[in-house]
Order: sequence, then C-alpha cells, then structure tokens
Amino acid sequence: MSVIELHDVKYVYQTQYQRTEALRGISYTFEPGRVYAILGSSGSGKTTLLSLMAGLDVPTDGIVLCEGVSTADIDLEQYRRERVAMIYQDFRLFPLLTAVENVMYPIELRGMKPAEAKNRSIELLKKVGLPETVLDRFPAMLSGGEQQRVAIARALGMETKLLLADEPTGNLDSQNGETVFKILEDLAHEDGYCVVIVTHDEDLAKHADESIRLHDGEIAES
Amino acid sequence: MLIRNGINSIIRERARTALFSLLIIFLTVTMILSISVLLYCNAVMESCDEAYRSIALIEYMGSEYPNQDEPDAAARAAAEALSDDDILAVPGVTAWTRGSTATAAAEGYERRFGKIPYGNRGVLVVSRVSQPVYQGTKLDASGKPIITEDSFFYHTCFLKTALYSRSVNEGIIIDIIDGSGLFEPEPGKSYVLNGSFLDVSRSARELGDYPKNGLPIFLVESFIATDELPYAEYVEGTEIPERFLSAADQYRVMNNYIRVVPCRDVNDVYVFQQNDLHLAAGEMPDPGAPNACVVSADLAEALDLEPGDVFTLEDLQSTDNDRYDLISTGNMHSYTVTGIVEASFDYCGTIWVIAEDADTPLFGYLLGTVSLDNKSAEAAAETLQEIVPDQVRVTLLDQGYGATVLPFQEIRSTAVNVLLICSAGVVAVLLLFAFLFVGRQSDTVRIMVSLGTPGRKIALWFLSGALVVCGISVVIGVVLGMLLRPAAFHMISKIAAVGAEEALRYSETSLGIMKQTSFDPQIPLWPDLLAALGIVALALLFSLFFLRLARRGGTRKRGKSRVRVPHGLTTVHGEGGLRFALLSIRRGGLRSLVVPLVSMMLTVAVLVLSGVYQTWQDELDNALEETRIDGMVVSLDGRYYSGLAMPMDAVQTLLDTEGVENVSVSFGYRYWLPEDMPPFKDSEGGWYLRQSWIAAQPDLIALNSLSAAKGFYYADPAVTWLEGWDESMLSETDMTPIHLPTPHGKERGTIPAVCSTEFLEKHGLRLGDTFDCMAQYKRVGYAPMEFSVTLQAVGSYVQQGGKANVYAPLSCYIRKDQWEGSAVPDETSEKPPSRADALLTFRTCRFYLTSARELDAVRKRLWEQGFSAVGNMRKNRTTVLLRDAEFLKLTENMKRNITMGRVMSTVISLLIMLLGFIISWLMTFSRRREFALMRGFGAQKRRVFASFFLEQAILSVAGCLVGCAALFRLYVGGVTQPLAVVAYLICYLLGAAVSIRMVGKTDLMELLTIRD
Repeated sequence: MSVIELHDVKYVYQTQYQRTEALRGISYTFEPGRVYAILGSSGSGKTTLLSLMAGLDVPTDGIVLCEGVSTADIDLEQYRRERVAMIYQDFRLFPLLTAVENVMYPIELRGMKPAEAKNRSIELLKKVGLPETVLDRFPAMLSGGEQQRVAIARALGMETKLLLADEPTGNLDSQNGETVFKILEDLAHEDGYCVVIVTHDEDLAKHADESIRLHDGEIAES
Repeated sequence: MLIRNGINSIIRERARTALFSLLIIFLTVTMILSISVLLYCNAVMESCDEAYRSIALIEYMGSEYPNQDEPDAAARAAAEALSDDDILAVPGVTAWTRGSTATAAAEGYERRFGKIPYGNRGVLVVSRVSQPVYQGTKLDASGKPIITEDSFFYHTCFLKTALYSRSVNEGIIIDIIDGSGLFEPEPGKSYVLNGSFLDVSRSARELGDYPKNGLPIFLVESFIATDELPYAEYVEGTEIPERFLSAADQYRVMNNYIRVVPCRDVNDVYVFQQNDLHLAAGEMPDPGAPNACVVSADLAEALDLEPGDVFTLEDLQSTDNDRYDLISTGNMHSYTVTGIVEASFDYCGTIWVIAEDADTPLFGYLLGTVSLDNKSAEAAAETLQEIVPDQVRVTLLDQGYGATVLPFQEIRSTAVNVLLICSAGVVAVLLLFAFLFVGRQSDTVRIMVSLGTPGRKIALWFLSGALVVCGISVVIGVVLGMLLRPAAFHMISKIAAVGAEEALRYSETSLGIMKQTSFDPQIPLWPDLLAALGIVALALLFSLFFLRLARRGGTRKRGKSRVRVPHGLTTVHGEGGLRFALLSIRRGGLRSLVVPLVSMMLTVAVLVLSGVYQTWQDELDNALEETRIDGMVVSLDGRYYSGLAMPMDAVQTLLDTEGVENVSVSFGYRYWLPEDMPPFKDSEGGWYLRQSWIAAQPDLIALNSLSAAKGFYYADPAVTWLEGWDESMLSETDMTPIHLPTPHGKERGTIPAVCSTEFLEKHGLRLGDTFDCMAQYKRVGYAPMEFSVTLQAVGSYVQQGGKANVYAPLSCYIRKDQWEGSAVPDETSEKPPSRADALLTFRTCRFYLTSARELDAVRKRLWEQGFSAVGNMRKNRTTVLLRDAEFLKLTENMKRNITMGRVMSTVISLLIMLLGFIISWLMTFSRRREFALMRGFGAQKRRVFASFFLEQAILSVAGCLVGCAALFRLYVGGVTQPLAVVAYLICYLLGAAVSIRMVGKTDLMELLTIRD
C-alpha cells in the first residue's frame, strides 16, 4: 500500500503582480521501504512539492492522498504531527534546547510525558549514531553532521512512515553527507520508512531507489 | 540611483510604510497642536497679566463694618499691629498703602456732593422775631390756644444774615424752634443763632407735628463740643460774638473738606481697580512721582485745574472720635495734577495722590490696600491672611484674573502632559521605525558591503528612504496641524469662558469686577516647525544608529566569530507550552533579563503614579467630607454682609433649597438702658436730638445662631454661658416679637440675651442678672416705635471694638412658628400657610451647605432660583456668596491632578501596551524560525502562542512582583495601586499577545524558508 499518492497536483503562487505555476499536474505514488530522490533545477518545483507532501499547504488543484485520505480533507496540523516528518538542509534545531530536548519536542507533541519522551529521544539519538556525550549539548555545540543526526532522530521521534528531507546533506561534507544518507537509506530499507529526498546531488540520487526529475513544475523523468 | 533604490526599498513595504506614516502624521499633528496650545495659553496668560491688576484689601471685621466713618478702637489696634515690613516681605506684594485718608482744605472749594457732615448746620442773624406760634393746641372759648408745658410753638422771623448756611439764602422768612430749652426770644428783636436746618420732608414723617406753613425750619441747638449758649441777642452795628463767627468758619471748613487718598499707585486704589471710577482727562500718575495726583472733576472745576497744573491745599486734622471734626493746621502741601476723574457723588472733592501713608487716625475698617503681582496674588493673599491679626480679613480682588487664567492653566498643563507623552511616543515610534526600516535590513547591508559599497553610499541609501517616508509624513502633519490650529484656539477660548463662568457662580473667588477681555494672541509658527524638524532629525539619527548596528552585524571582525551557547542540561520539567517557555526563560540569557527589568521599572512607575493618584483621591474625599462651606447674603459688590434688607420670601427660598441647611438670620433693634440716655427736652427739637442719639446706640440683635451676628462672621464666637444655657436658646426660645403686642395682654417675659463683658462690667451686671432696656423698631416708611424689654444676661462675649451689641433669640423679631413654617394659616385667607412676609426683612443671612459635595449642585439650584451673584443682578435681588475660596483652592488643585491622573493613566496604559507590543515583538520576531518549526511539527497554534506568550508573561509578572516588593512600603492602602498594577500587566500582556499573534501570522510556507 502506498504511503502517499499525488494525483495531478498543481500549485500556483499568486501575487499582486504575477501568477506562477509552481506545479503543473504532478502524479506519483510513494511506497514504504523505498528512498525517493527528487531532482531538478532551481524553480522546478521541488520544494513546493515537498511542502505539499509535508502538509504545509494544500494543492491549488489535484489531490495529495496520504494513506488514502486527501490532505485537503484533514486537519493539516494533525497530519503534520502524525503522518509526516521533515528534515531540513539547515537542520532547524531549537537553539535553546539540548539535542535530547529537540528530539523530545515532537514526541511530546504527540502526548507523551517528558520523562518517557526523554528516554525515547535518547534511544533515537543513539540509533542515529550520536555518542552519549553530546546528548545534553545545545545545537551551537554540535557539528553539522551531529546536528543533522539530531534532526533525523527528531524526525524519527514523530513515528511516521513518511520522512521528507529537503537537501539533508546540502550543508554537510561528503563524509558526513554519506553517513546521513546511509541512515536514511537504512530507515527505508530496514524500518520500512518512505524516504523522500529533495536534492541537487546527482550522485546521491543515484543511490536512491527511485529518482524523479522535475522541470518547470512537471515530472520530466522518473 | 542609490537614493531611488533606497526610497523604493522602503516604500515598497506598503503596509508598514502606511502604518508608520499614519503614526508619524498623528504624532506630528498632536505635537504641533500641543505646542500651539501651550504657546496660546502662555500668550493669553501674559495678556491677562498685563490687562489685569490684583489688589488685596486688608479689612477689620468689626461689629460696625462696613461703616467707613466708625472710630473703632479695635480696628485701630489691628492697624497698629500690622507690620509694614512683614507685609512688604510677602512674595508677590509689590506695594502696601495704609487705609487712613487725610483731609485738606482749598480756598474757593465748596463741597456740593458726597458726605457733608454738617450740611444742615447754620449760624444766622435773624430779626423781627415773632410771638410764639402755637400749633396743635386746643383753643379756649375766646379762640386763644390753651398753652401747657407740652404745647408746641415756633417763631417766625426774617433771616437777615447767614454767617454760614448751605441750605437757605438770606432775606427770607424762616421758622425757628428752640432745641436748647433755654431760648425764649423777645418778639421784634434780632438774634444771632447757632443750630440746624431741619429736613422738612423727614421731619414730616418723624416729628409728626411741625410748622405747617412750608417755611424752612431752623432748630436752635448747641455748638459742637462747647456748652456756650447757642443764641445771643444782636443789636445792629455791634460786633457778632466770636463763638458764632468761629462756628461759622468751623462749619465751612468741615463741610468743604477735600479728601486726600494717599497711595503708591492710583490704579491699585479700590475704586480704580474695580473700574468704579475712570479718568476723564490726562493720565494716571507714575507710581514713582511723589505728590502727583488725579483729582475729581468737581474739584478740578472748582479750582480751575487742568492736567499739568500745580495747586496747594492746607492740611486739616481730624479728632480721634470724629472724622469730620476738622481743624486747620496751617501746613500747606503742593500737588501736581496728572489726570481728572469723572467721579460719582461719593468721590467728589477727592484727590488720589502718590504719597506716603497719611498721618491721621483710622476711621472705618479698611486697614490698607496691598498691590499684588497677578501671578502670585492668590498665594500672597493667603500668606497675608496668615500674618494679619485675628478678625482681619484679606480680600483678594484680581479683576477676575485668577478665574480667567485658571482654565488656561489647566489646558496648558494638559498640553504639557500631552506634549511629554507625545514626545515619548515620537521616540518610541521613530525607534521602531528606524529599527524596522533600517536596523532589520542587515541582509541588504551585507550585500552592499560585499559589493564594496562605500559606507557613505550605504548611509545615503537607507537615510534617503527614511527621510522621504518620515519627511513627507511630517510635512503632512505640519499642514494638518496648521489647519487645525485656529479651530483648537477657538475651542480653547470657548471652553475657558464657559469653565470660568460656571465655576465662579456665587463663589467667593469671583469677588470684584470681572473684566471682559478678549484675547487674540498671535502665536508664532517657528516652534511648531522646529518640533517638526526635530522629528525628522530624530528619525535620521535613529536610522543612523540602527544602520551602524546593521553594518556592524553584517561585517565580521577579522578572525573572530562568536556564537552564544546557552547553559544547562536536559530537563523534563513542565509540559506543553509552559515547558518551552520555562526553557526559553532559563536559557534566554540577556533576553530573559530585559523583559523583567523593563517590567520592574514600569511597575515602579505605575505604583508611584497610582499611589500619588490614590493620595490625591483620598485627600479630595477627606476635603469633601470634612470641609464645611458656608454662604451668606451680601451686597451686590460682594463686600458687605450686614445692614442688608433681605426679604423673608428670599430667605424662605433659601430655606427650601436642597443642599442648604442652618440658615441663620438676624435683625437689629437699637437698644439702650433708660439710665444711659441723656435728658432731652420734651420738645420737637429734643425729639430730633434724641433720635440721633438712639441711632448711635448698639443693637439688640435677634438671631437664631451666633453665626449670623455680623461681629462673628469672621471670628468664632467665644461665649461664656450661664449654666444651663447654650446657643440653642437663640433658635429654641419661643416668644412674642418685641414689636408686636403680646397675646391677650400677657407679660412679655424676660428675654435671654448674650451681652458683651464690657457692657456687663460697665453696668455692674453679672451673668444671670436681668435688666430693663428700651428697644427701637424702625421700618422704612413708618415712624419708629419704642418698647421696653427685660433682658437676662445668659451669656457673655469679649467685645472686639465696635459697639456693645446684645444677641437675643430670633423670636424677638419673628414668631418661632412663622420662621419654622408651621404658623397656623389665617382661615380667612385663601393663600397657603407661608413663612413669607413681604414686610419682614433681615439684616444678615448666613447658611451652610449640607455637604461640600453639594457645592456644584447648590450653585446650580441657586442659579435656577434666580438669586443674584456678585456683580450680576438677577430676578431675585438677593445676592448670595458662597465662601468656597479655600475649599476650591484645595480641591481644584486635587481635581486637576486627578483629572490629569486619569488622562495620564489612559495614555500610560496605551503607552505600556505599545511598549509591551514593541518589546514582545522585538523578542519574538527574531525567533520566527522557531515558530515555523513548531508549526511544521504540527504544534497547534494555541500551543505555539502559549510557548511564547507564557515566556513573556512569566518574565513580566516576575519583574512586576520584584517591583511591587521593592515598593511595598509605598502602598498607600485602597485598591487603586493593586488595580493599577493589574491594569499595567493586562496592558503589557495585551501588547505582547498582539505582537506574538502578528509574528505568528506569517505564512507557514514562507516561514519554513526563512534563513536567519
């Protein structure tokens, strides 16, 4: 069964001066246990597509179906809380929270008590390979790779089947980039996550199970 | 290009530009209007200061006040006790002139008007004196009158020579009556006579029996102060005895006196300051020109004086007991005329001269006049009242300066407050403006720096934009301000006029004339323009400051990069939004200190302000609760409160006025002890002299409260009571009025009375003793009636000069049931029972307000009932004056402060809200990415809001609590301060909530793309 399906998804940025069709009818089905790479030049609609899949908005036209339900028909906040996890290029960690607390945040959002959330967070951080010594550190004290691992752990804490990553290795050196990709790949192949990665990195895309190339808001190649 | 881009980059932020433009326009208009109003009020007050003159009359409130000729020893003692140095040392006093006036004589001046003390006196040579003519006697059978001791007779004779006479000419026939009891002229002979011409019209009423042939009547009576015979036979060709010649000279001098009023500045003499008199020609003398004077027109005409002339007068000297008992001194004085005054009758034959105080005895009760500086007149009058002896009253007459200026002072203080608040608003708005338009453009700055743009050009880029937005807004504000200025001035003058008129109705503070002055001051524009320029300059200054910060932030110091690392370990305390808020607080560093610090300072400010406000409110409540305001019926000019003729129906209206209580009235009968009366011949002349003697006797005053006694208006009555008696006897005693017959011929009974200790001692009486006396009842249009009454001294008071008046119950004059409105109505009358009796009048009337809170309401009711106010005759001719000056002075200040406090509290609330908004906005705006993240994770809006709001709330409440704890000792009680703190918190948090909502409203997709 698919994790998320796109049916003729269109999205228009409408301003006072111009109307931009960011997506012009994208249809695609994302399965669990697979890594998808979305490629394309700047302005091709990659981030917009990811945002719609993340439930930050609903399409102007078309349907985004998550486990058979259109995002237009459900509470997006709840959708974001329970169905999808997001990883950003610049990690997006809360600067005033420790690594553990950052991971705890979405877990607590789901209603778990802080003490339990802490234990769960530590487990997840260890799972993504962070040593125990850095768990109580603040983001400013962590390296880029460590921060991205915290971000991945935080995404895992959301316990969703859909993991969206926006240029997850963009701010990392090649070694750390590979490590992060490996973690994501393992999550897909071993834990059954559907991992969707937006990237410019052709090499990285080659390691994905499927690649989707966007051009002017349309799928040029998949 | 730089300027164009700079302007474009700012104005393309349309909403923000519009918002700030509106704010700057609003603030500019407010600032210009407040400055203009401030200048307008100042200009009006300056104009008032030039147009008005303030003086204070220092008067002794003796029992015979306001008799100007009374030789009151107590008043003289009070005048002696006044220290010139002390008075002149009072701040605001510019000059001080004692109240004694001098008298002088001038060759060729004959007084026609004004007080002519011996105008009826004459020294005559009469001839061909007739046989006595008997009148009103019965005739015997032969037709001759039956002559008895009581028979009235007179002589008709020819007035040959009038050595002194003002009323009749020589060569006419007159009647003479003997007033000496010794004069028995032989028919046909000639005589020299000293005496008085009788006022025929008056004698027709009072004598009842007089020569009815229509000729002038001359009463032969004794010389002033000598007991020589007032008549002598005269033989043609012989010399007239010296006593008659000197009497004629004396009468001439005494009747033709010229009053010399010394002063430091003629403009400050009561009659001129009150505009009773005006210059007809010339000008007022310079205060520094000794012996320069203005003269009354009649004097100028008689002496043929013109402005610039110098003339000479001979000084006269009064005796201690009679102002008009004058003798020549031979001293001559020269005066220079600068102006001529069109004087009323009372001021004929007067000169007002720049001179030192007159070295003459004081008559009357005006101890002196103080010239005051308008601005400090009120305070000076207050200080003077503190340093003058008891029973001396200081009356401030400022021509309405205080009343006219008061509303402008209030408006000015409001304008100052608005200006201050507006300035604070300008600073806050411009700071925010500069921060948003320049300070937050670090990205642009960074790009420009990276492109190698010189600092000067970067500044030009940003400042041009800021200048355009701010400059255009300020220009629009200036134009609007200029358009609104005339309307504002018009409104202010209207408000001030209404405020002054309503506030002063019946008020003691409205004593003296109210000058009708219109003001149209020209207010310069440059202060407004300067303020507008200041706004623009401040905007540029702040922009420069934030530009500097932005440039510093956009340019890394070589080799240095600092990242702030929070402290602490992972915690599991708290849940939800609160948990995040607490973590942010703990790890926020400096940011977590700013909010409580600001909050603490604001709390302190709010506590102090509300504490002051509460104190004002409490003081006002106390004043309203504890002050007892009294009122009185006065003469139309407000200065005299005794000797009035207040009709009963006016008193009844007053009694029925809601908010008025303890209405006390008095009426005086002349009284005397029979043994004190000198013998008068039982003739018509003797009767006339007797009436004069009675007129000089003290009063038996019927009143219902000692507060209505004229001697106790300005001094508390210190009465020693006979055991078992108190003041209530004045109102409680029920007896038949003295001038009415007792019912069924019953005994009148003994009247309880309060007498002066001097009187009791003089007559060998003690408290409890009874004594008989006579009382005379006079009513206009009726012959005087005399009654014998028995008084019992049940109380005594210490007489402060004046006459030994005796105070008796009001029912001596008006029946108790009639006064209390419970008189049994006349069954034959169709009218309802009423206390009103048109024939009953009272000499004094005093009352109290039930509460000081009722002041405005009573004022309104009195106005509705048509009572006259000082200087404003209305349908009810009774003039009422409320003695509210002290109360008003006390409360107006507080009310002004409280009103200001209310305005300030509103403005401060808005300011606090704005501060809450700005601080919270600044605190949260930079954390928009955290907002985005939370929302990205699906956190509910309210949870995200709570995370940030709780942080602000906890920090501000903490600061507030610290502030409260620090100022715990300043708690003045009541709920104002706690409420103010709660209100402050609500305002602050409201501002914070709005700002957090605004920050959180950013589009989510946009939020996720934000880069710090």
